[in-house]
Amino acid sequence: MGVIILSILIFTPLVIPKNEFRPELMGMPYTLWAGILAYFGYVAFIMIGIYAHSKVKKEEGGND
Amino acid sequence: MTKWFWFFGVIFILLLIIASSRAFKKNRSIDDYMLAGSNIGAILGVLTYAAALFSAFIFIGVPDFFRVHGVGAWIFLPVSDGIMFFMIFWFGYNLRKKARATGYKGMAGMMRDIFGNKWAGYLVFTGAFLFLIPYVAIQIRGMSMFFTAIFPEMLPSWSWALIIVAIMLAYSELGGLKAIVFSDAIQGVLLLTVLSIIGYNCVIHFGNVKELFNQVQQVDDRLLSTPGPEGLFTTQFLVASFLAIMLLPISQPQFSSRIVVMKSMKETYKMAGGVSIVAFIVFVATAFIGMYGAVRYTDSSTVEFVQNALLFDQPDFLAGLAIVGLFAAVLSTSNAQIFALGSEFRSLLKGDDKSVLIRTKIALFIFALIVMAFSVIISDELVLLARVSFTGTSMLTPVILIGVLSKKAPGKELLIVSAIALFVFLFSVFQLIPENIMGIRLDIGLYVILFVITIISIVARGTLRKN
Repeated sequence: MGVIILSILIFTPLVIPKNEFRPELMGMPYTLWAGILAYFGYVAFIMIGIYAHSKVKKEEGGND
Repeated sequence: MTKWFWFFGVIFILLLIIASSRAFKKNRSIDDYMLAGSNIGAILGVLTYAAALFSAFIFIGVPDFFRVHGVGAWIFLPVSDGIMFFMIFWFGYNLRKKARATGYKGMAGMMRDIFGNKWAGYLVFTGAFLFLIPYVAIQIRGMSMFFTAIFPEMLPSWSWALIIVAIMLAYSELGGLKAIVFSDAIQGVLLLTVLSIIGYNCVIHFGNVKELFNQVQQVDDRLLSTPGPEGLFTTQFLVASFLAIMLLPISQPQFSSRIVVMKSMKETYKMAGGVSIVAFIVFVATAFIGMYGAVRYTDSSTVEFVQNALLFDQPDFLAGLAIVGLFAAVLSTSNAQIFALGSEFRSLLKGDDKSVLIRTKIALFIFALIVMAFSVIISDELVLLARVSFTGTSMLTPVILIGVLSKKAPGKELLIVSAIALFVFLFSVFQLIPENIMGIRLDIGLYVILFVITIISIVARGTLRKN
């Protein structure tokens, strides 16, 4: 669900405001740093998924 | 620069020979040859996935996209790749489970067996063939043009294409997927090293990141936001690209096969996490190279910009390494795609192992010849042609995704609707059908129709299994 919400937010003015590059972060324009945050959002979901899956597998005592 | 190119080039070829000879085994089984014994660990997995993904377009196309269209390129590609890496995790789990249950040889064969219909196999193979061949060809063409521009006196353009096809065939015919995975690892390391250093140099040229973007703002502040100076990055364009790229692990066999050949689920997950980190470093570097080009080579052609930013503005040894890196990138991605087509072809064959292996090797040779011929006649739009390839194969998603998730044979209507979508999209590429209908992009319209029909099909038939 989190992945779907993030994916929808990316295509709203929250990440891609038209012709607007402020506020900047460390000199980077808004869409670039907001896009980097979105990218790391996906990386975080992968890591959470790996953690949750390995925990379930451990409890079930299963491999692969 | 030329002497460094030969120096690194010779080392690279020697490493390829070592990789092929390590992978070569007499009397190996066809599964050893086509699926590398399904025993790939996480580190090799990260490098081979990255190498299959990052082709000539990451060296040439993506920096040029940033240069011409601005930072919206970050949403177009890295963000879309972000969710694609998540799909490795989610789809990978289901695919590996199904592959283990059905005895995976290739996606086309697996779909034929799941649907209980030979046309399912033919459809998956046709989609891969129609959209992978031009993509491989454009990369080889891009590389030949680049080499001809750098070494105008050395060889005619077509002979660079011939060299790459010959090397590719030689080591894949000898070593199979394992040789390709080893060569991908070499290319992955090369790509990461070269692009990181060049990206860093591009920032240092201006002092720091802030100053780089200040300069870009002075050139054209539209580069700092969407839709960019040429208005390319509309929301519809970005959404359509996002969906096409997100579906790559499902729709393109060079990616799905890399998920299946991993040693275990755990290694597959590590691969998904690892490749997302490697890709981030590569994308940041290409963004900086592109922004550097936006300031210094505002009105130059793509080839002029790439030549200068990647080669002439860099120290000689790095320029030499960059040329070898580009060569390696084209080699590994082309190889991954041609070999994946071979795997798909093989999965449709029947007969004893030996005759299937011989016929597959002949097919690989023929695919390489077709690619070679295509590379001479194809257009030069590197990134946009890559996107067409991603979108084209993504029309097969309902067939493959529902096939993998199903507990019983899915309905034939999925085959029919995916085939229609595939050919409608193909006709639009040849401009026989408009790309926009009533203000809506055709690809987005097709995705919506496919989604609705897929939902109706699985609800009506109760196709999906519960996890």
